[in-house]
Amino acid sequence: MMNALATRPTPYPSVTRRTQLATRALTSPMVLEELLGQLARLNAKITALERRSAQPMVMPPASYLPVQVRPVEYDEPVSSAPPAPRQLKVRRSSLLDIFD
Amino acid sequence: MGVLHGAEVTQIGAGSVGSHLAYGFGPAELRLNLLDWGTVKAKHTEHGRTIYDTTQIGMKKVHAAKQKLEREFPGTKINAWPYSTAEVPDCEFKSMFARSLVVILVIDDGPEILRLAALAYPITELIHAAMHRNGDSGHIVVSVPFATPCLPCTLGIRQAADIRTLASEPASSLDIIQIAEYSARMALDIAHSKVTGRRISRWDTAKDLIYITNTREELSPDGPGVHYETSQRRPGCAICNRQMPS
Repeated sequence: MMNALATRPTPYPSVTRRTQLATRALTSPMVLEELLGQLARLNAKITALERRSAQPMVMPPASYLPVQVRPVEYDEPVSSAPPAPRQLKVRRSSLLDIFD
Repeated sequence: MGVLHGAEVTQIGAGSVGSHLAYGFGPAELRLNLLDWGTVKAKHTEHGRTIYDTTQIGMKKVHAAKQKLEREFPGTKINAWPYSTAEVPDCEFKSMFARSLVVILVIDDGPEILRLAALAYPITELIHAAMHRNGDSGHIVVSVPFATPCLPCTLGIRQAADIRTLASEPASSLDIIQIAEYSARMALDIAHSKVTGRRISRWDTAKDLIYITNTREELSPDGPGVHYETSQRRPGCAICNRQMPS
């Protein structure tokens, strides 16, 4: 019977592969320049986003028609004593014009 | 609320007051028999006049209510009856009322109000809710079999023609919701009392007419308010002067 552990593929690159990585040719200066350019552009974007998030959020103006506002007429407080409570009854006729 | 889970209640009418009233029952998770023949129209979905939305235009109101209530309150079960009350025979209503902890009547058809109130009176508690002109006020009548006067005595009416229906009445949806929620709360209190045997403590149950003002008026001079009144049986009333069967 084969040993399952022995036949399992190793999760790391083989020694040979590691050697290849170490001896790989350096990236050309042109590609490096391009990468540095991309990095600068990303940094600029991040800076802009940070600045925007620090500003208060302003909602876009709604396209509703303006509502006409009028002053509210409040009641004047009554200084005299309140009238004695009366025993009022519901007028039954007021209960008969109905909707559901 | 959980104590009423699955309890049977019947509501007739699913219009503006009725739909908001049925919605008020949602948390109680009732088995609600809901009857209304009407269809949801665009005007019903505007400004919160009913609970229905634009995706439900063209549906029967009871089916729209079932869809909304069962989705939003998973314990609720709506038995939808898309019929006119006039199509349903007395025996069917009597059977439904006998199974119901309480019956809620939210229609504005005079003859049918009187017919259904008379059918329900000897069987179970009935709550009748309606709005008045402009939605400035509304009323709730609570009829308890053999304990309070019947609905016609409380309203002081002798014939169906005394009730006048207001069609497409302008009113604030919040005023409608106010009456609907009050009615739902009273109906649930009655149902809860019947299930648990505990007394209703929220209001004086000897008062059978609840008049709700949404504005200031003679009965409520400082602003919106609730006025409770006890009504009297009229001598010779064929409905409520009968004795309770022993």
